[in-house]
Amino acid sequence: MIGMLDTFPRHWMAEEEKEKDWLELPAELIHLIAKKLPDLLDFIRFRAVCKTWRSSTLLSDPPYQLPWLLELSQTEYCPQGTLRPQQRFFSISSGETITIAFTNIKTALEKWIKGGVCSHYLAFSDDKIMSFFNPLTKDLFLLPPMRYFLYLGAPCMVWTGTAPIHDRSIVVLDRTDSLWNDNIAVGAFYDPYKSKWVYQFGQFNSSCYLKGMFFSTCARGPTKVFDAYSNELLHTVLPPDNELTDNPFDGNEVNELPRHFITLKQSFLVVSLGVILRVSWFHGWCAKGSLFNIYRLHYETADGTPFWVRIHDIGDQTLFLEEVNGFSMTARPSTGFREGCIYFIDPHNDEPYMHDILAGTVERMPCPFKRCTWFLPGL
Amino acid sequence: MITLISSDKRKFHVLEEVANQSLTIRDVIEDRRGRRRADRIILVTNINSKIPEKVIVYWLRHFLMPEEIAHASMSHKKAEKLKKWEAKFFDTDIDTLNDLILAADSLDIPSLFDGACEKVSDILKNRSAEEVGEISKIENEFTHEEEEEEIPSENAWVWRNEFA
Repeated sequence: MIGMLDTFPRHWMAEEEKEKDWLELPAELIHLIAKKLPDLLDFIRFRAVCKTWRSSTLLSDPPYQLPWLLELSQTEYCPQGTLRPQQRFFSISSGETITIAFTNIKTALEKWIKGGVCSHYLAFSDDKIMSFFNPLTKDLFLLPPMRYFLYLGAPCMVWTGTAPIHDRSIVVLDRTDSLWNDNIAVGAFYDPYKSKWVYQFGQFNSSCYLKGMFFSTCARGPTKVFDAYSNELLHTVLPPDNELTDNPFDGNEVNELPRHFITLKQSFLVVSLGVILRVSWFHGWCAKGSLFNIYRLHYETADGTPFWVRIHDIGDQTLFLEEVNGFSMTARPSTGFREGCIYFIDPHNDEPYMHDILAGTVERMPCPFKRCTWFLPGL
Repeated sequence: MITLISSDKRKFHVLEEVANQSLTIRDVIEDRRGRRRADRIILVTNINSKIPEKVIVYWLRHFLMPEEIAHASMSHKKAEKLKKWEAKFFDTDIDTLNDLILAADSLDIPSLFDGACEKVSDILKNRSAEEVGEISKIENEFTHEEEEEEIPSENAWVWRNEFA
């Protein structure tokens, strides 16, 4: 009889009935448990429990995080807001409000902030100096000055390295205000090798990056696919055939509204599990009347022309949408988010809403702030 | 059919297809394929005696719907049912979870491992470091400097909130 004894770790064979410590696990398993903690706050507390737990986890390797809500101030002239001396964040999974003081950092204050990803915000001052700013670590990365000032530029940041403005990163800033929908806008691509901006004129709005390709679209227009490194236009994908006539209101009595009340407000491009999704947001008379059509991009077709296919389910993914860009994440129930849902911010009042795709319902999310946006915490 | 023998000499007869969910066992079976019958007996002596039962129950539940698990096409009703069942399965004391994690780790059962780790992380979330220390009877063993300076200074925002 050949046993499997040899294959087991020694610590495990040690005793029969000795009184055990709670969680007497080897370091590599401690690390894996820490990786499952739903909130950054829990992770930092976890590291303060004991020496073994602290040494088994790295501050630079925090668990996968779902977004927090960032409180925006009420400023007349800025559609987004400024950082406050006491900036507040709200963690949905823990229900806690986190306050961070910025009294010592003059550079970060008085700046306008824009939606961001990868735990950094795009901050820009009145004199058009732009930087990426992480409010938790207070790291600030200055960007070189731009020839054109993108007044409403929301960043689609892509970096393959570990830090922004890393030698292998690409930063893309682009935006046409959805009000001027079909106007020509400037897209700015940051070339980290030459450390300068490359400009592209076209219709940009929502954008995303996948496998060396950069995708950009405007609300009703075609989606353009660029090679992210050479900036060359690879494809122009026409909008879904029936985007405007596909009826997202089928069998949905809650939102029985006259058709002409409902307009296609915005199209978001979102990377979800290695595919590109186009999320068409139909806005009714208020955010509660919102409905969404979701399309998936098929780009490995026989003749090489990508096209959109409508889907009715996003599986176990959760989508987060902000002003123009969105992201997709996997949410476990314990994180306070639900899978198969779209969480979006209504641009009229900057309030967070949740749309359950299968049930077809829209509800406002509990949030202590009047105006807010998503923020992905990171260390 | 293969036989698992636990530390207290209890025998568990399991269908090979079921036990295959453990990648370690699958490899052992693969290694010994075509050999004598006695080789289909596998010792798992270092697993706490009540754990094999739990593991086998888990295997059986998952074995009932293998394809659905492999594909995301599982119907929502079935997925809900399985989730409810898993929630109940993992709703157990911390010692059992501890043993399940160790068993899942060495037997290499990814879904069981993930499930148990998630449950532990759920228990830990929203608790202060002191609370966790108290529940877990873990001595923190930090030096004076670490406790007074290093920990509070990195990520000061967490601790400030704690006392706010």
